[in-house]
Amino acid sequence: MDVINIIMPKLGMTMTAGKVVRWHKQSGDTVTAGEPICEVETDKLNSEIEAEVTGVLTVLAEEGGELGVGATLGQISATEGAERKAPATTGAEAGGELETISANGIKLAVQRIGTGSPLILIHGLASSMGLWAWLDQSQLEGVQVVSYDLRGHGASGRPVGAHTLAKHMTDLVGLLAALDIEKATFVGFSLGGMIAMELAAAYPERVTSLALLDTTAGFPQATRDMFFELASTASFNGMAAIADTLIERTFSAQFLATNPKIVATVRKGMLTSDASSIAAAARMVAKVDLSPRLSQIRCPTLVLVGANDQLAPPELSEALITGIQGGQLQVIADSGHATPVEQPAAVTTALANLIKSSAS
Amino acid sequence: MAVQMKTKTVTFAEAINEAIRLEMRRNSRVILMGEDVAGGATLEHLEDDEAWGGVFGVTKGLVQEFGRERIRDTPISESAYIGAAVGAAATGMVPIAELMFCSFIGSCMDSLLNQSSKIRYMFGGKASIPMVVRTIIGGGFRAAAQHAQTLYPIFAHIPGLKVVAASNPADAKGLLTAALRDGNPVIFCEHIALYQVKGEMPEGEYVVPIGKAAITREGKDITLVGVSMTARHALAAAEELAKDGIDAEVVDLRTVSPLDETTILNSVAKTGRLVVADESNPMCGLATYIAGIVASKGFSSLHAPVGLVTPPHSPVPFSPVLEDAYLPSPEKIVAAARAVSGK
Repeated sequence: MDVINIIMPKLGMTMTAGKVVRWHKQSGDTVTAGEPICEVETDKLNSEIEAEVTGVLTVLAEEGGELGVGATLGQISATEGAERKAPATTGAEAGGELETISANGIKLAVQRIGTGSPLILIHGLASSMGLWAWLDQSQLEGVQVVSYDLRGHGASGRPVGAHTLAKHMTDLVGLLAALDIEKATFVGFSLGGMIAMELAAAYPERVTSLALLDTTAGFPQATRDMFFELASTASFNGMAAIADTLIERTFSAQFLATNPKIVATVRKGMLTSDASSIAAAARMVAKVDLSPRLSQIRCPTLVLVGANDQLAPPELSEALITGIQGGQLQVIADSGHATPVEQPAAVTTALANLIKSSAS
Repeated sequence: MAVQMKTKTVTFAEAINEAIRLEMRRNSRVILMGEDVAGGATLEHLEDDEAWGGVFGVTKGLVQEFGRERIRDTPISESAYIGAAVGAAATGMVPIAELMFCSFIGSCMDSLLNQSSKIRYMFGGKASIPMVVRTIIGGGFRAAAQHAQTLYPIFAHIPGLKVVAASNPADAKGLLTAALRDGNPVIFCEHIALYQVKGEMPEGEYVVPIGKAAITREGKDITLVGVSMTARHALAAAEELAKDGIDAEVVDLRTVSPLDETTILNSVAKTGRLVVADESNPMCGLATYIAGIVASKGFSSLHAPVGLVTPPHSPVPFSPVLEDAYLPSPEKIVAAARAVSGK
């Protein structure tokens, strides 16, 4: 049975500690995902902590006690097959602040949480920085987590024109310049992984380490054909016409069956995307071939893939580690394509380990 | 046992796009050319990934997949690129030439009527011209006389040219696929008012044979024949006639040439009455030709004169009021069917 820790959240950029005001539930109570279980207080605000999952509560922190951010307040033993709580749709609601910066001639929506060596999160097709909301960022110590919306996605600008990896990479380089970041660890999911590889090959000196999640140097022909068809359908009929296919390819059957609320949140994000931009990005993905560049990637690289990824299956990740010198493969059990959503704890742990090992 | 095909809802424009895409993947000899069929897409200095794709956006997204070698923007010179298509076909390519409006065909006629349609015959069957001209027919868009004609009788008059005009997305996909595999020059007519019409279309490989009409509604009292837009009007008219107790059979020709006379004659043999609806001009037109065929080969079946619903013998008017009065409509087909039925 899964045991989920309840931790002191970071409720603002300056928060280092908080106080448990009161528990609404007691040890041994059954709590439901999304239900308020505990009230915490900082010098600026009071906030409710909601149960991440349905299960049985164990209270560890006493009422009135002051605890540091990330400290364990209690635990929930998850009920078998229980649904997890849908998180806030953007990190901003979870405590970070949404900024807009100009880079490469467009506006990019950015969010920074924490301080330390920078960790850049790059989301995938028809998604946004909201993809990362399920990660437990407080577990990533000594790190400034920077997530942003790609061009044509989320709250970032939607310039007309073809999408190319070169443009996405130049956006990212512009973002680094605006945030005064010389060097960072880059985490790219799917399309985001392609951008991370493009950057690591072109600017090796700026990349401490790489995490490539559920991605590939180039899809097989049948998948390329599918991306062209998705682009065409989106372009003629809008996002609603491709959302079902995207959702089916993104999640494992098991996750679709057990987490309808999270799936609904992701679908909502897709439906509000700009069809023309998504079509352009899908056509780019259909054409990407990074295989000649893999040998130029020399930094420590973690290649991570869901065991049941139907879109970018494990063999594509295996091809990545044969191409990238020093690449390490980690297969995440019980996950489809969207590992950061389906298995956020495992992804968080893997990223924390990568950060530790590249710091040492 | 009937095979259940997986279908999806698409517009007529999308169905054409899919037929081209799938055939271009299957056959590397298929190329597309015409005015703005690629547009600015993939060109750095003009770039707009969603640009154009032909005047009605039918071919958008293709250049990104197949590149500018196979999706070719041409100068605004119909005579040049229709001629180039005939030449490319003669050398073994399978070109699709997008002629924006069929009203512009005049300047291309030598290539089509005296070259493309004749070469198979002139070389004793040892040469062929496998090409498709996609072109817009029809009125209703206030585009005036020089853009709104329905000229398929001119093409159908020429032996060696096949002429196709679908009325729904499924047929558009199936017939265009068939046209691209036919090995002969095919004029594929797309009614301007159909592009945004939606319908169920089979996914994947789908071929509708050229030269086969479809009975889209069975009935016993009267046969309504239409093609492209008028095939849809005939279906709407049949629903209206049913309220009066007239059970109409609707024949969607789908192909203008070669004409499926058998389906028409069999239907008339069953119903004994015929109305033909056609948007081309009546003088030496499709409706009059069908009336002639039925008069000569099915006369003994007829209980009444053949009803014709066509525009008058005049250019398409620019005045919206006059254009509406000019075009065939379900109401005109209902009136003609009532007259033929004596009701």
